[in-house]
Amino acid sequence: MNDTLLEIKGLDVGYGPTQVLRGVNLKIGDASRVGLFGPNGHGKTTLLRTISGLLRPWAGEVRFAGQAIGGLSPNRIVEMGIVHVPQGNTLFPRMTVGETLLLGAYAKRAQAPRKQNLDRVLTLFPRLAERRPQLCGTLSGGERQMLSIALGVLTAPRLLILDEPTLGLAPRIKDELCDAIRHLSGDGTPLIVIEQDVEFLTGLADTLFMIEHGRVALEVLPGQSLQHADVMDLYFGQSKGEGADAVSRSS
Amino acid sequence: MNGSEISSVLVSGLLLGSIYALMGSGLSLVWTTLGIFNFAHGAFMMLGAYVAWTIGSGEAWGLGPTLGATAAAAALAGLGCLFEVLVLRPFYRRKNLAMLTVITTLSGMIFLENSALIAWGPRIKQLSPLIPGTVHLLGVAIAAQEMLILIVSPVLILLVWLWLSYSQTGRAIRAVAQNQDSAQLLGMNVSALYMTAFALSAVLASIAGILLGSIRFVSPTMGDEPLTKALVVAIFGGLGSVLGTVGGAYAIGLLEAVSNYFVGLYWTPALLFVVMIATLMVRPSGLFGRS
Repeated sequence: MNDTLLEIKGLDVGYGPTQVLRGVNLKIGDASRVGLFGPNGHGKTTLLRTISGLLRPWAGEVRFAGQAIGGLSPNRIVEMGIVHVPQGNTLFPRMTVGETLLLGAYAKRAQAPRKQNLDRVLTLFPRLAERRPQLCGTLSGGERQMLSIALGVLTAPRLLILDEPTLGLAPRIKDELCDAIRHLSGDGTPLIVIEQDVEFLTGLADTLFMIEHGRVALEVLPGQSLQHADVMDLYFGQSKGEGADAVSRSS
Repeated sequence: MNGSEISSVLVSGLLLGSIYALMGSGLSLVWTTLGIFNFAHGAFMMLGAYVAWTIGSGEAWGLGPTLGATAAAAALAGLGCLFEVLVLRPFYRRKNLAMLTVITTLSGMIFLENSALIAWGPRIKQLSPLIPGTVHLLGVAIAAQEMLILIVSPVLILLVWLWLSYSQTGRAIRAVAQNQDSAQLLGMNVSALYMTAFALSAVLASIAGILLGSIRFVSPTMGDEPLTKALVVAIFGGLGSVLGTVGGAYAIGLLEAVSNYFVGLYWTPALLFVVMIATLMVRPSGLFGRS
């Protein structure tokens, strides 16, 4: 039975006077692994920030496990189980890794499984254990990303949302992180991942959404297969010539 | 300068430093956490002294200095919470928060000082010491209450520092100062944490007021000069660091004592400002600070 975990209807959101999302509709089931992709600046991060409460919806509805969460404060949404690992997280520059890991279990829901999750996280990212006395501001990009994801796990998510976890990382670290994320999703936690690397997403996710111009432009549900050519078409625009060249170059 | 004069200046410097450290650490805590300068900090100090006087003094409710001090700390914790909600919270989303809160906290200060003037009248009052009598330190005779200040201040600041460093709430307060979004995404309630930090700083101010009021006088404007000194101390010691502020406090306290001895009371305040300016020219973030 695949219950609806997250449902978004007619969502309009923006920053200041600028509208970014226009009537976004999507539904995510309880056992899903969802990939979000699309061109930069088209609203993927804005969508995540609205779900996690950092942004207030202008119009429309966001429901988590049946409850309306639009406009609730981020800490309340965290207590309900939505854990958002933000893009390019600079964390807490003047706190040590050890202190930050302790903060990972701040939420009430994170208390009971605290020891378990910490062991899990340190097994997944052994490098963090070594770096415990180090200040977050001195970590490398890859280590910061590992710590961010670790914090996500420590908060005991019912839905884990990762915003471009491998952005700007060297290929080797990227692979390490991709493995770790695959491992995490294997444990059964529902996942939403934003990634530029569509190949990685198709390997990981069973549902894909493409966000373009603030709307859901393409939806690939479980069972359907994603034609890479379709994606390339939408990505690079209607001009057949450009799209076709891109397809033949990449395949 | 002979031995007993040196001791005398030293003790005087430590005493001033202790009071400035209490004042400065409260101010620095608010600056580090909320990013604002609380102009009403001196007024909090003054109100702490007045509440302690009303509850404790024989001329008022007469319940004794200990109960007076406890009641003052509790009252100022409450006032700190109220102040944060009314005077600071409405402006958190604004871009010019630092500037706006200069105006709002300054208004708060004027309001509180004039309220105190109406409530308690202009005549100065005295707080009775928690411990009567005199003791000897380094061969100098000082009031037992002054000895109490020398001990209470560093102990209190140490406790606050330990709490900030090792408790989950203390960690959370440091975290929201460094990255508000990430803190919220870990489940921290930023407003509640801001209120806690502000209330704590008000309690520190109230204790400074009680201690100062017991060796000097209690008046509606008693907090003005300490606020100025606390500002100098916090900037001189480094605004980003509570411990740096404490270091700066004792340095300034000792400097002031030495200056009072050699240069006199008249020029000392000017000299202190010159020292602060000179330090900032060489080290813009203060002696121990990071911006």
